[in-house]
Amino acid sequence: MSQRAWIATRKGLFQLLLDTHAGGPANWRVASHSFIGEPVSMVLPGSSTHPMIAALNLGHFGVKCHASDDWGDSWHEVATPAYPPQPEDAQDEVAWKLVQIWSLAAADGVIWAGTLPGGLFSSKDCGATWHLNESLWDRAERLGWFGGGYDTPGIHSICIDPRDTKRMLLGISCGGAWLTRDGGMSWELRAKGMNAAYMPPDRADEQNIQDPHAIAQCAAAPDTLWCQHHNGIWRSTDAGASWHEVKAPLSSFGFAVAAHPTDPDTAWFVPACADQQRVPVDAALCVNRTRDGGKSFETLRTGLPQKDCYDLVYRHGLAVSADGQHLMMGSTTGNLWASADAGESWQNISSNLPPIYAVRFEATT
Amino acid sequence: MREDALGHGFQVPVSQYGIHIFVAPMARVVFTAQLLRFTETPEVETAAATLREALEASFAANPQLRGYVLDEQGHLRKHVAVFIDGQKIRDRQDLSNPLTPTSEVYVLQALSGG
Repeated sequence: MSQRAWIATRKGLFQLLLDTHAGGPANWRVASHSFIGEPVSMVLPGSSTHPMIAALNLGHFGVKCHASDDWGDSWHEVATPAYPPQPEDAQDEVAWKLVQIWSLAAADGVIWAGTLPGGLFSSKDCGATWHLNESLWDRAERLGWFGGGYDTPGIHSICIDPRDTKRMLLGISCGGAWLTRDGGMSWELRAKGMNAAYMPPDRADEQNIQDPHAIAQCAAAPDTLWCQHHNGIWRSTDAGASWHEVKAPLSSFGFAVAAHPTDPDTAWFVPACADQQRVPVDAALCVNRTRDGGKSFETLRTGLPQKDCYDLVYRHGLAVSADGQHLMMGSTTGNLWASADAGESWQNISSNLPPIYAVRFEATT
Repeated sequence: MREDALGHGFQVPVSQYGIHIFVAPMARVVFTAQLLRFTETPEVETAAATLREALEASFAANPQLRGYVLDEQGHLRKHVAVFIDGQKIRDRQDLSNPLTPTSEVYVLQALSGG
């Protein structure tokens, strides 16, 4: 099996291919690019039931969605999620205007888009039309959400349960975690156990204001979720009903998390100093990996810059392949690294890419 | 074509007998060429009385253009600039700015937002 990955950046979308030669080392290379010069906020690799989707965030002309059925050789613009007319008496602090597509996921031919300012959209026709999930948007709790990283709240994580695709968990900054069991018809808040040091003490454990930077799910054990939160790392083994804090070495602050696809005890994190100093600890980049459910961590550094490094890995900037062996990590400085041994060692693929927003693997044969 | 004596229109000679028809002047809407990367920007001449009506005439010629200029609430996008006869408009929501039959509307990208 060969590997393909996609890199969404501040100035375009890049296709990465893993070249394998008999007897030789396997090397990733930048194979193609699309939308050069345009911000691509998120990409959804294609499948047999949906096209590849690229979400552009044009600086002047708004959010646009493009679809491709040929791995980016050609693109056509499809519809963009749009909020309904904002009622004049709406109690919102946010305008009902699409700011950014922050997350994309798909299952059973349905594409889900998590957006700023907090709306979840779905498309059943490959992006030709989009529908706002009103049962979540109309929740009274939404008015208590606020921006984390951006001026408005946003949905950055969409974890679809492979056993039952009607079960889906969302991560919202700042709005906690929300679970649906019925395909989005109803929702329940699932952030119990998380703690927010940025709130007044009496509101620190309030679920609806938590800031999960990213939430990742173990595909083979979907009740196991890993959360890189603004104030630490949390893990759930009951589909988000309860969360338990995990302490990582160096720092538990960061943005990215990757969950092993088959081993619920294994996950990777990329620590940064702290929220007020978002650079690697001691200017040396590393990856924290746990293989025992968070009881202990290994700090992996081989192949990563250990001097004068100020790269930050955003919340979607770390990904693991379906076999759990390949990892890829992209930074705000435009560095891209890959690992073929589950993070033990890393190779630099490029140091000259635009700031990297998202890394996603696609399995190819 | 020439502007008529009152400056209100154009007299177009249409025959050897010197018969003239009067062609009413219309506002003209021009879009930044930057948009051509994404969609067509037909140059429209319209009898619209307001900016919004003029933009609607452009969107009728290319419906895809709407989402590049206006957001889903019908407001001018934050980083799009509109000039009417050289003056930048300030109200980005109502778009009821009056046009004259000779108005020139330029829809440009702001220097912010890049």
